[in-house]
Order: sequence, then C-alpha cells, then structure tokens
Amino acid sequence: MNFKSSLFVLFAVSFFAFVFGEDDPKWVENVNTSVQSTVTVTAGGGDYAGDKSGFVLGGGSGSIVTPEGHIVTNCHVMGWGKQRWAFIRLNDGSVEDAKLLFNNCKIDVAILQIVPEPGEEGKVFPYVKFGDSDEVVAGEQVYAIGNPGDSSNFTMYKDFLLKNTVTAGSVRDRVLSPQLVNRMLGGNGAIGGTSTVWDYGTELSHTFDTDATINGGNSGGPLFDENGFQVGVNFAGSSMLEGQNMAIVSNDAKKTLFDTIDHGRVIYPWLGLYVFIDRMTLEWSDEIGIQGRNPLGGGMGAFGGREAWDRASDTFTRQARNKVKTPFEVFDVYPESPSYKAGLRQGDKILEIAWDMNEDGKITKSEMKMPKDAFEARFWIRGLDKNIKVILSVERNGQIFNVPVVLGEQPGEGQFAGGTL
Amino acid sequence: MINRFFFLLIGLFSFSSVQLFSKEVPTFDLDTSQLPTVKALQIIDPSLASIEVVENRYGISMSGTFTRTVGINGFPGVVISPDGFVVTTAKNMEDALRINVIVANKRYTASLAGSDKFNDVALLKIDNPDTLFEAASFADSDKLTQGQTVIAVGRPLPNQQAATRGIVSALRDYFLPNGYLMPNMIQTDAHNFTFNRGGPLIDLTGKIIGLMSFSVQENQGTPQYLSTSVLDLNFATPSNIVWESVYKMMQGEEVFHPWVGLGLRPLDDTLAIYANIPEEYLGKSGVMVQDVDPNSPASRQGLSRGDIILGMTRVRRLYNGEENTSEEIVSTPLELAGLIRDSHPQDTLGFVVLRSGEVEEFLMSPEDRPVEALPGTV
Repeated sequence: MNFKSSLFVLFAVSFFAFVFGEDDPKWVENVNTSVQSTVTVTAGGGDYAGDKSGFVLGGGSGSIVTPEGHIVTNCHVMGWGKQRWAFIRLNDGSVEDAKLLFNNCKIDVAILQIVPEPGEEGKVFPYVKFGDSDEVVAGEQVYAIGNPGDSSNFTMYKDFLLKNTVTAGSVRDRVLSPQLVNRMLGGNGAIGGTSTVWDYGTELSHTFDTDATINGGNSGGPLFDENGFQVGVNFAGSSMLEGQNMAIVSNDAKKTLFDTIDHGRVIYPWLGLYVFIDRMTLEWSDEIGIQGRNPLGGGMGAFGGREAWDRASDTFTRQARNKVKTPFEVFDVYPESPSYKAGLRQGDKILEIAWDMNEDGKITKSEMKMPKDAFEARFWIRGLDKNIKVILSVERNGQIFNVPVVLGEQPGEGQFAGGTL
Repeated sequence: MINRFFFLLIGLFSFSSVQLFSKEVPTFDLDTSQLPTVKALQIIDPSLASIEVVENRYGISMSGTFTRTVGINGFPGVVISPDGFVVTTAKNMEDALRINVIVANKRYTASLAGSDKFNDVALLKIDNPDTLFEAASFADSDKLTQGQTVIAVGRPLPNQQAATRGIVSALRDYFLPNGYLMPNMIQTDAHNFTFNRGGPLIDLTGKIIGLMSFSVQENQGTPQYLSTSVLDLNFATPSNIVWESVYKMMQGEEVFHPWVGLGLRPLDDTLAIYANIPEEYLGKSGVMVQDVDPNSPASRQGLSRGDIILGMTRVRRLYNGEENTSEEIVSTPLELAGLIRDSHPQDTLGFVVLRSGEVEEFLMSPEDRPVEALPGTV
C-alpha cells in the first residue's frame, strides 16, 4: 500500500459517488416538506367568501408561496378569471377560503391569498421556496406534485381525487418560443377551445418541457428541482403525446407574484411595437396546409401524432427564427404607445438596442447591442422596468438613426395579442 | 522519498483533472452492473416466472396459452418459496383451469393453490419441482416513503425481462375495480403494461414491495371524461397485504374480508344542514350512509340510507374467555372503513347512529365479503 494505490482508492470512491450517486434520488427527503405546501384549489366560491352555492367551474392544484398564504395556481384553474373566490384544501385536511388577487392569463398564472377565518388572523402557512428557473438545464431531474382527478362528486366510492400525487421525470428542454406553446394550446381559443381569453399564454418567456406525468387536476401544481425549490408551475400535458408536459418557469410566476403584492397588478414594460407574430403564423399555417388561426388547436394528436407535431414545430421554429432575424421589421406601431410618441412608424427596421442601467440611483448607459432576433430583443425588454429609457437604432429608407423611447406599461388584459415588444 | 513525492504529484494531478473532465464528457466506460436499478433487477431476475394459462373455463387455447396481447406468451409472476409457490394477481388467473409456469427457462405444470379476489392475489404451486427455486423476498411495505424509486418487472417471454422504473407517487386507501377498499395501496408512475400487470413491484434492494394490480382507467370510480386520458396513475397491492393473504392460502385457509355492507360518504357542512343535524354534533364527527347492500348485516339490522354514524363500538372475545371493549368516534369514511377492516368474524360491532335527532345503536357481526357485494361498500 503506497500513495499511489491509496489515491487510486480515493479516486475510485469519489468517482463512483459522482457517477452513480445515492441509491435513491435526492428528492426523497424533500418530498415530505413539498407536499405540506401543495394544496387543492376548487374554483367556484361564487362572489363572496364562504359562498358555497357557487357552481364549480374549475379545479386543480396550487402551491403556497408565502407564509401569509399567497397561492400560485393557473389562470385556467380559476375559470379564466371568472371565479373570484376558491376553496383551498390544505394537506392537513383543513379547508380555507381564498380570494383571487390577480389573474395573469398572459402567462396562465393566478395569484390567490387565503383569507383566514375570524379569530385566525396572522396564521402562518407552510410555504415553498422558489428556485431560479434560469439555472435549470435540460436533463435535470424534477418532480411534480398535484392532485389529479376531480372532486365534484363527493360519494366516497366515486370521489376520484388522488391528492398529493408525486410524479418524477426530467426537464427535456426549454421551449423558447412562447407562441409555440400558445398555438399548441389552441392559440387564441386556449385549452379545449372553451376560453375566451385571447391573449392566453402570450407573455411566457420560456416553458419547461418535462416527462413528469401531468394529468387533469395537476394544473397549477408546483414543479420542484431535486433540492425542493419550486422551478415551475405545471399547466399543460398531452395524453396523445405521452411525456409531453409543460410547466411555466417559476421566474415568470415570481414576477407576477411580487408585482401583485407590490402594485396589485403585473407590470410588463412595453415599447408598443408589433413585430412578429400574427402575419407569420398565418403564413405558417398556410404552408403546413391547415386553414384558420388555430393550426394545432383541438388536440395535438389530430394531425398524425408525434411526427406531424415535430415536423410542424420544426417548421415553425425555423421560420420564426428566419423571419424575425435582426434587422427585424416593425409590422405596426400601436397608436398612443411610447414608440409612436417617439416617432417610430410601420416599416422601420430595428438594428440595435441600448438601455439605461440604474445602479443605486446612478444611471449609466449600456452599449448598443444587436439582438439575434426579435425574440431576444423581447427577452431583453421584459427584463427591464417601466420608465427606463431605451435607445433604438432604426433603419428607415436606407438611413440609420437613433430613437430614444421611454418604456411604458403594457395595457391590460385582452387587448394585445402576442407579438408586441 | 522523492519517489513517493512524485507519485503524490502524479496522483493529485490525475485525480483533479479527471474530476474536472468527468463533469464535461465521461471518457470511461460506464460499469452498468453497478447502477442501482441494474443491481436490483439482477437480484429479482432468477425468481421471475412466466405463467401460461393452457385451458380456462371456455376451453383449451388454440395457440397454447391464453393471453391479453398477441406476442406475449404469459402472465408475469414471481416465485416466493424454494419449493415452488408462485404469486400473481387474481385477475390474471380468473377462470384458469390448466396452468404452466416457466421458471429459469424450464416449463412446469402448476395448480392454483388459492385466489383472493378482493386483495387481487393468486397463489400457484408448481406440481413437480425438480429443484429448489431461487425465491424472491418481501420488503416491509409500511416502510415505503413517497418519492422513492421503484421498478415494475415482468417476464413477457420465457427468456425476456421487461422493466419500467418510476417512483412511489403516494400511499393511499383506494378502491379496487371490483369495489373493494384496499388500505395503503402503492400509487406509482411506473408504466403499467400487459407484461408487468400482476408482476412484482420491487425497490432498489430487489425485494418485492407490491404486486402491480391496476391503473386508473380500469377503475369504475373514474369519471368518464378522465378515464380515457389519464396516464401513469397505477396501483400496486402492498407487499404486507400480499404476504398476509398468501400466508393464509399456504395453510389452506380462506382469507376473511370483514364486511357489513355500508356505502359511506363524508358529512360536509352543506350535507349537515340538509340532514338537520343538531348543533351539538356539528363539525365533531359523523359519516353519512349513502348506500346499504340489501343482503348485508347492516341491512338486516335496520341501518338505512341517510343515517349518520357518529362512532363505533367493538366487543372482542379473547381466547381466555375475556371480553375486550373499545369505542371510537369517526369523522371520515376512511376511518370507519379502517375500523371495520380490523374486525374479526367473532366480534360484535355496534354502530352509534343519529337518526331523526335521536341516537341509537345497531349491533352486528361482520361477514365475509361476498363477490356480488355492492361496489364501494365496506
């Protein structure tokens, strides 16, 4: 036994520990705590707290995210915002009333808050912690918790509600095109064609594509990483394409949560430019031979299953990337928007973008940066705040000049479809 | 000394560089035999059996065996004793008359030693074992944790092993497709296919923790609109119940399933208002009787639909002639179902019932659950 062999042993031990890991996945110790903060949401509380005569319109799962009882769930779980109250069934069996604070159908997130019964004010709830969803990479192990089934039939034998079902899988990919998700869910018709929310899903920055099984009733439930931090909100799955499940990234949900707590609404910074979506989608749907604005609506399996879907989404992604490559064209400028006031007009081409950076009250300008395409430009703009000054490098009639624009706030729900910058 | 120092340097260098490099692209060959799932499968492998049903009550199979799917020769099973006891699910062995079991690539004739339809366990005995078999062992299913890795294994063809991996999604009391309430069912997201339905569900130590029984699609309680689209909500009979049932069948005894014939539902606030429950009982306890099986002890003793059960008393006669009395207050149907499940045939159960504002007690003994029992009754 000399140094060499002992080092080899040391190496071998660390090597096996690295490659094979523990026998059981890391999350086993975290599942118990995660389950405590996952709740069943039954929308249909009618118009006031405790109104149990309400017609149950939706239901799903949710997660408690603050000790004060803020709950993150899906917009479509709350009947697309038609339901203002919900019953919350906690893991310990107690039932609470929760009020809808803000409904952000643009990313399919609803923020609720539990209203404790008189005498129980200041109650502290078990809550989950958010992880940074930008850090999640493809192949990472995740687990989903939710309550598949429905609870509208209360007979013991017929009651089909599998509370706190844990399913595991891995993140397959980040879906970088939010419009793809939107179209996948039926576009402006949303899930199952029953929604009237026509900007549904338009502000999603990314979604996770996972193979952790999601069933009806899992909607709104949390997606955790191995360490028990919430990195996603499950919102869609497909029974036709097994293992094709979608989760909203938690950073999107977190923004909605914090904006709701601070301002009572979510604030998206906005230039008012209409750059990519509708014209392109129409051309795309013509090309793959499907008429109308809803190329994949009404079930993804309708067009030959997985292969057709892959082919279609490849076409879409390729086209999207090509058509909105820098310099990308402004199809339209919304009247009264910050860009319109700054003098931008239809037909202009955007080349480069710079913005003010506010560091502890000191304002510095960033360098002019050229985005890859309109998607990236949009990603940058969404990362800024309202009232920040942005400088756009614009090409018009062969001339290039700079236009300063102060970011405004994107106007409310239902007025603007996807494709605005 | 210099020599040693040299080795130290080389050793450290190679150690750190490989560590860094292994995060990028592993250039070594993966020793798959060390993977936990592979190790578990290697342990269970010699005990896996393939079961052929040569003749059932409809006749002799033309192709040699009755199966659910073309291309799959038999039902999966697992050998649990060296002298040739094999376990599978009762549903697989329904109507079977003549059975062959293939273990370690050798075909034996076997006979049905017992079938417990409610717990969904069937026991086969190999008729003329010419050797001692490698038996799989049972793990304690009460020690399972939510989220742990499990593997569902089957042997669709005599020399083929098929495995799917998943986790324990939940542990819950759940109704089987035949309407029987099974305690502590293992819900898993390991896929449930024809080739592993009835086969063992194992943990990473290679021990049996359950028998893959059914998936939600087959359950009658599933709403129509969900039943076509649910995925990976599969259930396995826990090993402790399998063992209990198998142990009785090995002795040649019948398995007793206590039953009084009550279909229950939770008493929520809305229901309580409609049922005119006096205020002193509100919110404290109570389960509503939804259905009563017409040929049950409960029906004979006069319990009826709409009664509210507040609690249960039990008088148990012990072997030394003494009597042991217990009283329990119930607030959920599952609680009451659990109390009934724990009773013995000789016990006297008393149901404390609130009917039109008055409290009465109904005494009865549990019976063995008949096959034609109303689904969902306990």
